[in-house]
Amino acid sequence: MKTILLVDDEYSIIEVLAYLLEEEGFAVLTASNGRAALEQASEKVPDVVVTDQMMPVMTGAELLAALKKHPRLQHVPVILMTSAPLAATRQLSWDDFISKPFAFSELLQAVRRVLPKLEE
Amino acid sequence: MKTNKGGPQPLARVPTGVAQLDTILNGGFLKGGSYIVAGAPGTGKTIFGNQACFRHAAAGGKALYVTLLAESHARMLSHISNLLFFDPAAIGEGIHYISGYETLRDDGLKGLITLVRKTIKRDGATLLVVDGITRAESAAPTETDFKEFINELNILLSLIGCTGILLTNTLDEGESYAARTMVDGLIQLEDVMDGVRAVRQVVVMKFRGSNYLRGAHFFEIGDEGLRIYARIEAVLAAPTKVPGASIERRPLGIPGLDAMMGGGPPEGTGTLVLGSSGTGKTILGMHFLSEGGRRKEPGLYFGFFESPPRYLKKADGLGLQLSRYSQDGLLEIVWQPTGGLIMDSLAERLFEAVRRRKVKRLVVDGIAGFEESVVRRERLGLFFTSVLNELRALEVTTVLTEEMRELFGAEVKIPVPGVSGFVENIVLVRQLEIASALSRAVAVMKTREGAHDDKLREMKITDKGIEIGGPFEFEEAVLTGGSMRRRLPSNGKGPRGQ
Repeated sequence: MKTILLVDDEYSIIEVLAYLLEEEGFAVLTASNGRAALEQASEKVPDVVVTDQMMPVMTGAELLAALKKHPRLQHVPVILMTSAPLAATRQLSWDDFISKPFAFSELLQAVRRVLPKLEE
Repeated sequence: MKTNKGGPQPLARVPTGVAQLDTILNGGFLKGGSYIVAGAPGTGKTIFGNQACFRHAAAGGKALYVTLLAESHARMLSHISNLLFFDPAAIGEGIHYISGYETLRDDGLKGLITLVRKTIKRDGATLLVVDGITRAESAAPTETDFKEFINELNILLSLIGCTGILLTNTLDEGESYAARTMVDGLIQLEDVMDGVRAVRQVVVMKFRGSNYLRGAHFFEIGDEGLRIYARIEAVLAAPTKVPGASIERRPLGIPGLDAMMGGGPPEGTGTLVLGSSGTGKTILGMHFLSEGGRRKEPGLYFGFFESPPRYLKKADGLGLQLSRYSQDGLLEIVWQPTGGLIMDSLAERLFEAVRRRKVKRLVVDGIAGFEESVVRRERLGLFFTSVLNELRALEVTTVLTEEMRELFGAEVKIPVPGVSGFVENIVLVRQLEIASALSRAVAVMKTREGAHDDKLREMKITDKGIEIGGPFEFEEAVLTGGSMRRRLPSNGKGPRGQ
């Protein structure tokens, strides 16, 4: 079973997405900011990280930078959930991203797109 | 790096299942949006919710109806089982009914959202109706808890593309405030009094992410459930196309009167025929339609007072052959007795009949039929302006009759406010007394395009219909109805050999 680490400061989004992803057969870990996510990932390495950008304590971009520097976590694909303009999002090396508001099916597609990278 | 096309895409629409509400909402609900439908008991909320579900299921969607009320589903369904949208085969297939009453009572909002979440996922629901959302609000320990419930529901609906309708009793300030601010749209159903008449109206108070037709629109509850009539002047605020500038004439078929108008009304214009009772307005309209039949131009009689058999018999008696044209498909008679009708429903019928047969000649007999169905009289001017503009765009030449209340008198009162602005031509027919006998006089008061004969002429109704005589050159104050004969020339003869 693949594990997804969901990172968002909005509890309701985490709650609903976690339920929907579990229904699709994933194990789900959650965190409410970048720092908490880094701690979670260090304890149990997820297969995919799905993160919001605008969060207190540590943003999604800061989380991405920290993951890419981390020897055990640098290969974990990161998907950004963002409402930021496309140009701003392109500046960073996300593995994939989806624009808010999005349909759950779009998130699933993004997850499935990055998962084959793990197999390589 | 792959993207999901890099930005928010326009949201798909979900039909509401209620006729013309989609027009008001510019295409229907937004997929994945949440909408409150509020109204006092008896205003039709439950019918609305069920109608939306059955129509959604009939179109291939999956609907989930969650009741938070103590009322059983069997009882609710029995109340709607005689409505046309009701299909027992859809229950358990396209529509699932569940009760959230006990879950809410025993497990609170957390239990309710879990139940909704699981059932939506299980059924693959694309439409959710929650009946009695105020009960969920009452069950919330704090306002924050209720906000979190609504927020979680919104996120769920948005993520899975399920559209939500939340039915509630009230939209009063202070109640359901959290819900009102957090949902994507608010629709209020109301039952208001207009004199002694009860009128149902719907008002869209909020609709995020789209234009919509603001203000009140009237509706009925009948066999088909809710039937909304979008306010015609809002729907047709701009005609569907710009009217042309044809110089063709559509003669009335009364040679003398056509001559007075420079050949008859120009194509695509409106002509108001104004006169008191018995002056021949309806017969004038018959001539116009008969002339259309003769020229093979599709005609429509849209009347309120004369039944079709009576109307045709009267026209045939004058040799105008409307029965024949009706049988040949060149003429349609649409008749509706007045009383209890919604003005916008009349306009809808009118345009349906016009578009269906590509009508070129229309007689509305008379404007009073619309006036009697109006709920807000101040709408009349704008209403007729919109209707006439659209008829022009459809290249329909229209004759409208309007009855003047006064049989005689110095004043010419036009009952509908602003009427002179929305028609190009006005023909006035008056009864008058000459030498202790009643006569009729006709005058062309206005033609917007081209000159017209400004003389008053005698109008006779014979067994062949209307005939126009010579001018009243030797009478004065004819329009007031009580004419005075001027002194004749020394030879004692007038222009008509008198």
